[in-house]
This record gives sequence, C-alpha cells and structure tokens, in this order.
Amino acid sequence: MKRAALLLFLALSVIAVPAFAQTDVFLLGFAGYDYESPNPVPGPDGNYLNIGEGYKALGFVTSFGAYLAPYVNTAANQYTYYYFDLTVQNYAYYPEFTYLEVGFANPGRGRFYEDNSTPALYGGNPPNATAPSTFIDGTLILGGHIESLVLNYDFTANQGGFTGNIHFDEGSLLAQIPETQRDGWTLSGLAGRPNPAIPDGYAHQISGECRIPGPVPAAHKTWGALKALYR
Amino acid sequence: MKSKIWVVAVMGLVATALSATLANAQCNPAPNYPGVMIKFDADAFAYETAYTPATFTSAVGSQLTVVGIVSVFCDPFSDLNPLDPNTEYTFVWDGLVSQGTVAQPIGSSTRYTTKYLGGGFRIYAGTPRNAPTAVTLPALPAPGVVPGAFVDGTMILSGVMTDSLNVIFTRSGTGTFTSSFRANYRCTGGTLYYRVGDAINLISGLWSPVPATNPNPPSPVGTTLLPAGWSAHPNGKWDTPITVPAVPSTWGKIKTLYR
Repeated sequence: MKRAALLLFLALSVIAVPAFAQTDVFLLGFAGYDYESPNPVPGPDGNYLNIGEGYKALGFVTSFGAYLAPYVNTAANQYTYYYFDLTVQNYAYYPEFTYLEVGFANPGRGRFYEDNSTPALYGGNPPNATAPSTFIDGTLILGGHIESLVLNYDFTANQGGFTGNIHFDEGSLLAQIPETQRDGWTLSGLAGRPNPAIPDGYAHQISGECRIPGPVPAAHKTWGALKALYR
Repeated sequence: MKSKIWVVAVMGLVATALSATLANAQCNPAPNYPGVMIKFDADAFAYETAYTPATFTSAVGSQLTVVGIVSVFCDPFSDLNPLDPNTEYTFVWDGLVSQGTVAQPIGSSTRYTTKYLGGGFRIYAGTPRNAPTAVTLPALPAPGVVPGAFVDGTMILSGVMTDSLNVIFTRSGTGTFTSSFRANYRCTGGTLYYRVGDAINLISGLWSPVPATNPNPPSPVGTTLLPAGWSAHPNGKWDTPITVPAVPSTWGKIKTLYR
C-alpha cells in the first residue's frame, strides 16, 4: 500500500507541467570597467581592439544567485572578477554606421575572487600597481574558460555589449554548481565616453551577469517506465 | 528566557547593521570618480504596450515600463541594506514613449535601436518583501502585482531621464545577442533626495531581450526567456551624481556631462 502510494506520488510529480519553462538561471552579477592590454596601436574608434590586441575587464561582483549565495559573505569580504587572455581574432568596423564588431580567440578566461585583506583599487591607465593585482588576490572561488566572446560597440550612441560562453572548471565554489550546469554564459552592457565615471586609461563601464543552464526539466514518463525503475 | 531573547534580538540588530555597512565592500569606486550608486542584477524586467518579440520591435508610441529590485546600494546610500529581510527596495521606470525600433542590417548582423522619451523613475522602500523575482515572475497582465508590488512603501528617490533612453541590441550572424541601454538622469524628489541633489549622471547596463519565440524556447545566447508579456531583462546601475559631497570632481569632468 505504501509502495503504491509512493509510486503514485512519483508519477504525479513527473507528469506535472511547470507553468513557465525557465531555461537558464542567474549565477552572479558584476560591474566594473574594461581596457585594452596589450594595446600596441592605441587610439579611439577605428583603432580600438585591432586584431591581436588584448581585452581585459575587471571589477566587483555585485550579487550572487541561489547556487552561490549560501557560501559567500558580502558583509565580510570583497568579491571581484577579472576577464583576461582575450585576444582579438576577428575585426569588422563599419564607418557608415560607426559600428564595431569583434570576436576573440578561444579560450579566454574569467575568474572570481573572495578577499578580505586588500581593497581592490582601479587606479588609472591599467595595468598599474593595483589593477589587476588587487582584483586577483584572495581566494579563487570560481573560474572558467571563455569561448565565442563577441563584442559590439556603437560609437555614435557610445554604448555596446559583449556576450560569450563561459565553462566553469575551477575554484573553491565549483562544487556548488552541478556538473550538468557548468556551461554558462557571460553578458554585459558597455557604456563609454563621454562618461564621468570612467577612470583614465579604461574604455567603458561594464554592468552584466553570468548565467548557467537551468536544472534539467521534469521528463514525461509512462506508467510502465516508472514501474520499471522499482523492479 | 527574556534575557536570552533580548540578547538574540540585539545580536540580530547588530548583524543587520554590520551587513548594511560592510555590504558596500562591493562599492569601491575609483578615487575622484563617481562610482556605482544603485545597482540591479537578476530581478529587473521590462514590458511595453506594443512590443513584438518575433521581430524585436517596439512600435512608435509604445509605453515602456521597467520594474525591479535593488541588489546593491553604494554611497550616498550605503547605509541601506538591499538584503534586509524586512525592507524591500524596488523601483519603477515609466512614462517612456517609444520612438519606434530601427532594425539595421550591418554585415551579417542586425542592430535594433530604440529610443524612448519622457521617462522617469521612482525607488521605494517597502515592507514586506513581496515583489516577484526572476524565479516567481508572473505572466502579464498581473493586476495588483505588476507594477503594484514594485511601487509600494516609501518613495525614497525619484527622478527623470533627461534625454532619451537608448536601447540597442545586436543579433550576430551566429544568432548571439549583445545588448545595452543608456540614459542620463537627474533626481527630483523622494525622502532621500537631499543626499544626491539634481546633478546629472548616467544610468546604463545590459538589456537582454526576450527571444523571438518567447515565452517558449529556444532562447539564443544573450536573450532571456521570460513569462508571456515581458519584453526584456535589464541589468544595470545608476552612477553617483558627481556633485554628491562625498565625490570630488573637476571642472573638466563636469563639462563632459554636457558635451
């Protein structure tokens, strides 16, 4: 009787249809700045992110989603991020639209840190004495390789964005992300000059987030398939 | 027993105060530059009166509304705790009128640009925590919840977008989306208006549109699958006005605001 009741409960559970099929979940949010390094051909617009130049982004993690929130302490620690090893591989600038589209060679890397000793400081004209060093000290809580990163920028509107895949493969909190959900995405808006918030030597403000795939949704099963599990 | 309860209560208040104060470890701005003032991350959503997901287009005259929950407070609001279990900080942008989406093919990509005019914002401190999050977001319409649960409580700050809210997203030839929004704002009122005044600065960030098939998959990279009726998921921030007393500035920086 109890076994029958359990089987009935399980059957009802797996055939329940969610009201909304969310496909990915929020992992963390971030804000900061980006800059070119190495930047052998400095200059605005048409000289921005030429092929072979490097792209870096750093700043602060501003919030954590449900997977990581129980394991962080934003009251006691500072959480930072650093995207690096991103080299421009594809470049297209459309002067009639003042529009840039670049792609980066695979893989780049993104890392997230926890620190309660040295305040992270942007300084000016990075890399400098504090950037990225004060953003990459402390404990590496999460990291991954970045692939298929694309960056677009509109020089008339002074805004753009980047989007890429990030596969998480390191860090003290890696185990908090199920193995089946470690192929995520990183996406961000960019806001450029004129902009009084951008320190000298940085290109844009960044505000964005990382997401990971949602849990595998409940699968429809027949009664026969369900019974087979308990034979 | 009463003494134990009193000790626990005091410890709870102390813990909350410590959280509120130390939470701005995430706020470290560059010296002499205005940093993030208010940030929103996972829980911000947009909807319009005349938006077509299948074509990513906002019709001329469409009214845009954005609602959300604050995730971070920095100076001069660093004493506010967005994680306070008893106080929820929410916001609404409204009065934004679409000038229509321009879809521009560029190479193998398509850029969608929409300007919205006439907008304003209000930020609230309310109790209980009742606004929907990304996990509990309802389909629209949701009378009494959207925008109701985002505009309850005390209005701590209000303001206007001083020019246009510009939303741009690009679909690449591979189907990936990049996106952004940007507007200048100034504050005009609210119980905490005295902390910021009416200097202009920037509100900007990510603007992830819903996919063409929303609310159904697939959801290409860079889009956000949301319940029916929603149009986008923004993630962004208000920057601190540069004349806030805690933020030194130069005449050169102020002039850049007006170029």
